[in-house]
Amino acid sequence: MDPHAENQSAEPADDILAALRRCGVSLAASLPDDWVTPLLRRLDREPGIRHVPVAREAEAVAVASGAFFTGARPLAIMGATGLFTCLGELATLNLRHQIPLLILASERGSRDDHRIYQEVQGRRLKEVLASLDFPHFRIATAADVAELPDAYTWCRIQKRPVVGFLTRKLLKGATT
Amino acid sequence: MKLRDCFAELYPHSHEVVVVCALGMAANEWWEVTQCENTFYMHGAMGFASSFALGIALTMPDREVWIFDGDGSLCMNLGTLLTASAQAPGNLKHFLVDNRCYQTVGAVPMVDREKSDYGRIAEGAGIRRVFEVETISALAAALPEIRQDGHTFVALRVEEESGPILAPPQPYEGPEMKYRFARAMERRFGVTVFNAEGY
Repeated sequence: MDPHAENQSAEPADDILAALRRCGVSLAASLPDDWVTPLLRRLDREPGIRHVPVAREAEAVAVASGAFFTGARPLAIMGATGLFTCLGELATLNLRHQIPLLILASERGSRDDHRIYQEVQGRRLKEVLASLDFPHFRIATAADVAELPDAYTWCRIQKRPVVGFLTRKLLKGATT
Repeated sequence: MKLRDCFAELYPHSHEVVVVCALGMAANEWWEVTQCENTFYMHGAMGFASSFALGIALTMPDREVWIFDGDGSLCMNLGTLLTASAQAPGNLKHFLVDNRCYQTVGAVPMVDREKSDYGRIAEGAGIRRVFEVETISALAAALPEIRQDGHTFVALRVEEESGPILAPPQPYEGPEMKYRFARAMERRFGVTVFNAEGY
């Protein structure tokens, strides 16, 4: 049994938004996949965070990176497939200029994700991130969500992209 | 119209403006003309300097933000026009260096050399304030209107140049660019980018 399960609310998006408020996040740029869509809809109702939907995930990377220079506290949210598409921009913008960026991404291709078209993302994405020296961690429980402020500060210290993978069970419950 | 002359015309009006340059000709020529250290000269992420500028514009709405974009860059991220249009940042002025070639790699022609119309593409994305400028006098005349409140797209129809790299890039690289620009933002506009420990 998950020792933190009893602390988790019925709506994980509410818990994540509460953690983002504690991070001081003021801008979130996003492009949805079906796992993070409820989080993004919840974000639209969050008055303290400017939500910027984009047409391609690399735009979210760049919008958030620009916002960093105004003293804003930015974040990017996307699916794992979208994260795959913007690795070049993360390398040549964020790594090159040492711009920190916390990214929340769905952990597609995990053992409990039975969509065949997500399989490669699950098999290779974390290894590719490691090859670029981009740290990543899992957000699987309410306790993990509660630690997001530490992750946000750690990302600023790291001065590079840091990815938090939101698990299926956290976002969608135990149903398959 | 030469890009260098456009920049010479615009620079005296930019002292209260946040300027972002896409990599390549826009960055190299703006540096050559201005030697300005308050500007962000993007080194990579071709196509996404305009998105970077949007992030600045949205989080600093009381300041004018100019992005000098290349047409090669824009064509790598046409979606930027849709995203910015949806946000409608009245302080964002998107200047396009429209010479229909990849200048810094030898003026290699772009795929859309003859047929496309960037102004109409911007209009089609929902941007209502669109300007197309072909002479320095027209740029000077239009500038007060360009700077009025409202999300604005300006196509600068400039000449293709003969050389592959016309001006040297600014003499500092990635991390130094970050710190110079961020400290300039703190100094110029009173924002706090870095905390007491410098991160």
